[in-house]
Amino acid sequence: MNYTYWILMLALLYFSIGALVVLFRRNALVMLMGLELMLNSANFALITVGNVVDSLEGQVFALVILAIAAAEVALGLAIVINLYRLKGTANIDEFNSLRSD
Amino acid sequence: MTLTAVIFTIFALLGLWGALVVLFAKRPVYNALGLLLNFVSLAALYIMLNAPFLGVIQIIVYSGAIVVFFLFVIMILNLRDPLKDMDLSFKGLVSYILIIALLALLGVYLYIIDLPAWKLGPEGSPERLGELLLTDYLIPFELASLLLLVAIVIAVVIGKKGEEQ
Repeated sequence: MNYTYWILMLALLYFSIGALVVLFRRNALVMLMGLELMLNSANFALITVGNVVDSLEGQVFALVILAIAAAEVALGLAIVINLYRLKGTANIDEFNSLRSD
Repeated sequence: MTLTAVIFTIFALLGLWGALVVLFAKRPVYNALGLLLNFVSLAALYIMLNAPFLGVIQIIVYSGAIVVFFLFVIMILNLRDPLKDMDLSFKGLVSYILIIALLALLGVYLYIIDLPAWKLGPEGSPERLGELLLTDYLIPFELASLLLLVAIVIAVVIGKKGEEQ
């Protein structure tokens, strides 16, 4: 039994659940949560592979991805707040015009 | 199975539970708490995978900052009205099937190729990570800090523009 396979499959499972959240839910906030799930599973896979190939670089990459995730969520939530002020809802299907009427 | 593998499996299942809560719960607060469960169990998995520094940073940044940020925004937005949430149209179902197919294909691919045997690598202690970040990976490190600065400025500008209207 190769543990590498099962840990990578676990990361794949988390990633696909995150992608399903982004595709399935219509709430902009919950879609951002799905993005976080996907970034986290990428971190998990990087750390796993870094262990297997016996180097610390996977963890360095994971650290940089973590900083990028923090920046992304700050911008995404600012955009969601502005959209909510504009339309009064967080449903992604309502945001279908480029004009701010 | 050794004790380590049992503990690993327990935390993996907890993380899976959290992810499924994010996928299926109706109220945004429950989604955020499921996200918290996923993050904390992933931090435990990081510590078991010889990455203690990343586990601690995961708890501080994700569970401490990002989930709290989500909860603040949920409270500000007052999303109490139920919205037509699940996308069960034809398009949504096609994307659902595509994601499941992607998962299955990648799983089969990982099964076919010869993955190297599992072993624990070097421990990612703060000293060694810091040494790597300040020598070999100095440029990505500085670029990440620059990116954070830009993100702060943009977030403030976007928030201000909303206030004026």
